[in-house]
Amino acid sequence: MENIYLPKLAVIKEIIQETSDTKTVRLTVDGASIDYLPGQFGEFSCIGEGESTFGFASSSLRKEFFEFSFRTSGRATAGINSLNVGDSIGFRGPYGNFFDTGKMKGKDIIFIGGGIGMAPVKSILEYCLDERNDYGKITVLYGAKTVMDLMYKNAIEEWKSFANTDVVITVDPGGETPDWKGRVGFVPTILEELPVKGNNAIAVVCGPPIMIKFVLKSLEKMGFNKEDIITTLENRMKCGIGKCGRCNIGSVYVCKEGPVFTAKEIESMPNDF
Amino acid sequence: MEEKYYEISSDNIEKFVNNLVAQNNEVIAPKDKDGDTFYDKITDFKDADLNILLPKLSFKEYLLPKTETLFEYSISGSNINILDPLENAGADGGNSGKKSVKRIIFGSRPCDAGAGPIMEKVFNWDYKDEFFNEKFKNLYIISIACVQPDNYCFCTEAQLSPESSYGSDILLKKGGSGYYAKVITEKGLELINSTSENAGLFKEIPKEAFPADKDWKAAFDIKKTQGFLDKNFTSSYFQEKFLSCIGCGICTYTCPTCHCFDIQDEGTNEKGKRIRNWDSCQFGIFTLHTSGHNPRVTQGDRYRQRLMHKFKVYNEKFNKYLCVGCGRCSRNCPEDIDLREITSELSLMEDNITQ
Repeated sequence: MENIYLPKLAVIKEIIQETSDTKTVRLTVDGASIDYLPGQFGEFSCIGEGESTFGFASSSLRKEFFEFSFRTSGRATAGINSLNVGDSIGFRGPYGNFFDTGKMKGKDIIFIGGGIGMAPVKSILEYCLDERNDYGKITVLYGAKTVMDLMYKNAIEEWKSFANTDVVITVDPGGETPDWKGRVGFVPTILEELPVKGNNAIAVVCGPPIMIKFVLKSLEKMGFNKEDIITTLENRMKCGIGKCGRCNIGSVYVCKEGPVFTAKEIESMPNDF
Repeated sequence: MEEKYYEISSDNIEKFVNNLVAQNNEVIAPKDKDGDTFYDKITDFKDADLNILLPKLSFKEYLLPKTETLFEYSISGSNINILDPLENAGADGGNSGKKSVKRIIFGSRPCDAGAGPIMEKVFNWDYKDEFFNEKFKNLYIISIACVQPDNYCFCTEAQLSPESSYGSDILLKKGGSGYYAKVITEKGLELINSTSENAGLFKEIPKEAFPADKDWKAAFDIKKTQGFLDKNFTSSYFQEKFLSCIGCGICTYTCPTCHCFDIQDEGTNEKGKRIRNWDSCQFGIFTLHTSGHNPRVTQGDRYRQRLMHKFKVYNEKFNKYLCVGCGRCSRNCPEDIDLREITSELSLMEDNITQ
């Protein structure tokens, strides 16, 4: 009899301290990664402290490990934060739908991430970079509140090394340091200054709800169709499998029918997210 | 199964229930406790209080306990050991170690009986929740039809009725020398035929001899309530109507069909368990994001979610309503927020809009 709430034990292979309060954890089950697709999520737990929901942050084409990023903010994440390489993390998943990479092939793609919302964007971005020739021009726009809040510093350097790939990093006004060489400005403002057009292009967006709201408006101004703007919604979840009853937006269960939606799909949902 | 019909005298129903107890089944019936009636374990038919309209709470807890262990853990160094309670599952979903105790609800109300199959759909939507399924499989329900609903009841509007057999294995109606019995499921037949003595207590009658249901008429059309909810997410009705709601969550706790839960770990860093607890959409923290953003800020937003879930979202997925019309949410509400009144008002508002 299958217990759908029983986690597998995944072993921590590596921990990357991204900022003062965020980390990326690389995990293996039986010495390797698991089967999943960018956009999907899992329930990760520190056994004894609690379980929490995170999207995958790694490319599923990389088979040696899978990773997720978290900010220490409650009991479950404080528990995960206390773990070391070699310790085990409870894992259930993968759950939910995923990015439609078939639809993205051959097109220009702009990846837009804000704060820790960059994690699921990183997953699909690195997936596309792993098969770089399948896609047109790639632009990455990543914003954080301050320079201190920028995650994925090593990964960013890797992204920049790919051909036909622009990487733009910005911090909110006031969040810059004297030696900051990136952009200063909110993500939607910087976005509208980029040489990106909506024809034969896809936009992937994830970040705080308020950022998503304004980015969607900017993208439409730039000529993107609502069908070509893809985002992931990160509603509060417990079970991840359509039972516990808290992640719905109208009749849509984000855990089952999402978390990946087009702007067109979001437009038809009630304002309950 | 083709339904079967019986007659049974008052003396014999007492014998039947006491036999079920003697056969080591766990028999649960409405029972007086400090002046209120609850579904509780009985050891004798005389413990059952069958004269009340409705027990204070439904028997939801026998399907979805307030707190339930999902697994136990023990940790030593970097070694984690996880113990799956479903490996010893029984009527209590594995949390006593006893296998397959037959649990019989005697004197269930038709509304309460209806809640089981309604929740069953959620717990088997794609992923199968065997904690629920094991308990549901081993739960036998003998309902007694209601004669007169009260002003908070609206089972007829919720597409059941005071005489509905939906979710029951056996439905009893008062009459004749005691009761008439309609056996709806194989499980019901299994109880009657559990011993030759039990089988002898029931006298089979033709279908025509079983008393027909009264012509229960719905006071309003719940489909119109759904119609309003379909189109009026932003209606000011929700914000105004629920200004008095204090967000205590009693409507969800006393509801036979509300099933939302939270998952928490409880224990030390050496051993403990992961549990699920009843949760409530009426609490702000229910949907609060880590960032501080909350999709449902006001109590109106939260009660609207409760209405939407019951009368729209669930219906779109499973073609039924997530409500049996028992009225407990209203009876127990400290602010007298009345779900019958609300669903009725919404159906009338839909009428006024479409006219």
